[in-house]
Amino acid sequence: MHQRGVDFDEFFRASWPRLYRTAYAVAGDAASAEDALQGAYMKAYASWRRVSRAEHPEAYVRRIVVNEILGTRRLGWWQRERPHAAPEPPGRVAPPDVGIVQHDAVWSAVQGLPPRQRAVVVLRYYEDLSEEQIAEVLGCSRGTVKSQASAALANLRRDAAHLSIGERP
Amino acid sequence: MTTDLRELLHDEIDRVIAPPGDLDAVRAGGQRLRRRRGAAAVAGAALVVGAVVAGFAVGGSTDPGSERGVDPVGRLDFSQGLRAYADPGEVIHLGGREFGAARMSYLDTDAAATPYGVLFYDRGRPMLLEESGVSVALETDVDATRSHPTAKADSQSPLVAYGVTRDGQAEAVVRDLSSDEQVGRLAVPQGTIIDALDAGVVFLRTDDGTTTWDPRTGETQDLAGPETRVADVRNGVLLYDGPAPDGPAAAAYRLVKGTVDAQLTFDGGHVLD
Repeated sequence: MHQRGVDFDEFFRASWPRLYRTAYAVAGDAASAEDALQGAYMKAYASWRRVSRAEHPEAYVRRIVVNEILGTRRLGWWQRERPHAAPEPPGRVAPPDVGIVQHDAVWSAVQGLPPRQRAVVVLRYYEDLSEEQIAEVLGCSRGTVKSQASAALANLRRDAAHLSIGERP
Repeated sequence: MTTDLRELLHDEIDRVIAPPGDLDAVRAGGQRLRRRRGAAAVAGAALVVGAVVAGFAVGGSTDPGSERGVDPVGRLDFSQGLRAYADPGEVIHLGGREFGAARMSYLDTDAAATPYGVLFYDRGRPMLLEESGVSVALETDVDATRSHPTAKADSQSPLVAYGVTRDGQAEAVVRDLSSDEQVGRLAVPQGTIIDALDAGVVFLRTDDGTTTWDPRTGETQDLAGPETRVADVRNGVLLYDGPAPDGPAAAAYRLVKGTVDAQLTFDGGHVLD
């Protein structure tokens, strides 16, 4: 949907929950997700005249968030300061099928992926972005996205042999 | 039994309850960012390299010169990456469309194509022609001049380097186009040329020689004397003409001799003569 001229407050309220979930999935912990998201919205607000003219302001913020998270990990401080065991995010609803070991094993495997591979998996299979769109988010080539996705799936299959990759028709 | 990745991700992620966002904090932080941009503090000490070069000739005239058209050109297609090339003087191929060269005279050889749009100058002021077809100013409160600064895009990151003049002072600026944030700003002598930008490091040339500037740390280092010309730098490979760079900054690069008008492929693996 074209959102030219959209009001920032309205945009913030509408997009925050969606982008928080994506940020949480890429970051793997609630605090990093919230920090990255807060920073990204600040940047969007500072450039709102320009951002609001974009076809998809939400895509603009998502790109900042994902790169903020990946950049933080690349810079290294995150590894020093992140708690050994990330606490469960607040307000998380217990799944109806917590007993399914396979399900948890796959999710753990996703969380254990290297950050860029995890980002590609989340953007591809949760956000339903195309390879081109993922390349744009990550600022890399489509070939890099392909190779990262391939490596991610190989890792997941290694760690969770029962995984299937369902593609949309 | 198998676990479908797409379903699993939705199962896990959709049930995460987002904490309420702090809109007031976001607005306050965004306003601080705006103010910082407006203040445009010069990062680090002024680079002491003298001389004037035609490419960034800000000496004297602040006459804005002739108006050049930067009207919206209609939507462009960056979905396959931005493809931008020209038949000189005739046709400009840009984002899947063709334009008469006269219509886009502002897109000259110093314009820099990036995944976020084409960086060019309108009367000395840096502009970004975005996929929407709209050109937006990257800097406010800079002088309109007849100067013709260089602009460079980093093939390793979403950074661009460009020159501006503010209250008569020439400055080199590095900006992150993915976040629209200024990474660094350095006061430079009038006439300084930006020869390259690689992995966030800017190569600045004056008549005294070439210096590198890392806007993240503010550090500057001598690279080469005035006889050396840096033709291109990509992925840690430095293509030069003239005497080999022998300053402290040269140690960080793989030096390849070539001609001044040659270029490197983005991965630095090949020279394009």
